[in-house]
Amino acid sequence: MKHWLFLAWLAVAASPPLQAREDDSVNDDSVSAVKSDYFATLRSNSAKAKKDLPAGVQAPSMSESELQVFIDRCQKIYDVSAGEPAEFDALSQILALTSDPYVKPTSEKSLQAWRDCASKLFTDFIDDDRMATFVMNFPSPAKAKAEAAGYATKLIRSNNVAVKAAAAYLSLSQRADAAGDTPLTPELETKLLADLATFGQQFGMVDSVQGGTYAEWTKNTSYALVNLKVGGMAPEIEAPDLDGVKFKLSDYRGKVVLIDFWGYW
Amino acid sequence: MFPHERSLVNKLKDEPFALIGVNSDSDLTAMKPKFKEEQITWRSFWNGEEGTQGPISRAWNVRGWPTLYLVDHTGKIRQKWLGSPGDEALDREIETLVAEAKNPAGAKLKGKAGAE
Repeated sequence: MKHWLFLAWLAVAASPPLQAREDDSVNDDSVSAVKSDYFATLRSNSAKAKKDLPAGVQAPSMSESELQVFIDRCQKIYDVSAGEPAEFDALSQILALTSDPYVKPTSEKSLQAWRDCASKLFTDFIDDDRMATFVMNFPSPAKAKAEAAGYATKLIRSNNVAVKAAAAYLSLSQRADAAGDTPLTPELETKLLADLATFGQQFGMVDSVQGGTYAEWTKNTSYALVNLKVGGMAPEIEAPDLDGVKFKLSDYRGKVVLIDFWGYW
Repeated sequence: MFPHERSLVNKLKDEPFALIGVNSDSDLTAMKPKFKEEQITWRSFWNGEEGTQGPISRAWNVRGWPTLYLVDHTGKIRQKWLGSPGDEALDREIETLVAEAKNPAGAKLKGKAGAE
């Protein structure tokens, strides 16, 4: 254990001090280089931990100070890349780094870095095409889940229709998924159906980030809400079996049926 | 999932229970020998040549594989899962519903009736 901590300290101590890099006039670092160094560090830390610790003892995969080096590198890339694609990549990479479950618990410093970058990203890039995909799955630390949801909602004010649609889709799809787990009251179901219809009218022609158009998604989701809910009658299936012989789901009425959507692939 | 499904089908072969698949392989001819190898003997609908985009999975709004629906003896959807809920939970739910199917009047006792 002590040996591992020493190595972690050594790795941090050996990394070049921030001050020295500030003076470099040429910055040839890149977000992809940060990413690959980050994963290399994770791998080597976990290999070291495996060697030195008794089986079953969980070691932290990365120290706070090791992580800070990667955050600083991204910050530097951000500073010199105004107007370039790397600007967006650097911000989103800092969000990923500061949300990382490998460093526990999230320190105030890295939480602050997450807040600064999220605020910049969701302000400066609110009309950027890349936000439509990014918002679907954007990283946030456990302490900032509510703030993250707030940022996602903010995108509804984007002037970019794809981003606006993605933000609206995100909140609607979460409601629909939740309804799949716990059936809604009739009032809430009516409300959700109305919201889906409004969304479909507004964004139906936009391509969904999940494939297809939002019109198709709206139609399928509304149908499922009414016809595929727990407690409702299962829709009929009538189709050929694997030998081409037609049969029906209702042939099995009187029996409990487990329907398994499967594939061998 | 296949090994557990095989054992389910075996264990409940004399009970009011059926496992029905909806197969989403687009090329059946290539896959059929594999099904035999895995001893997938239960009946499946075929989702058609469009594979995972086929008409049945589209109608049932399936967004991941496997998706499971548990339908009771009256044709009502009682549970659905994206991904398996785990062998034990699955068995428990099925056994509860099988007990209901065998004794509709005793359905109020569900939960207890399903325990082995």
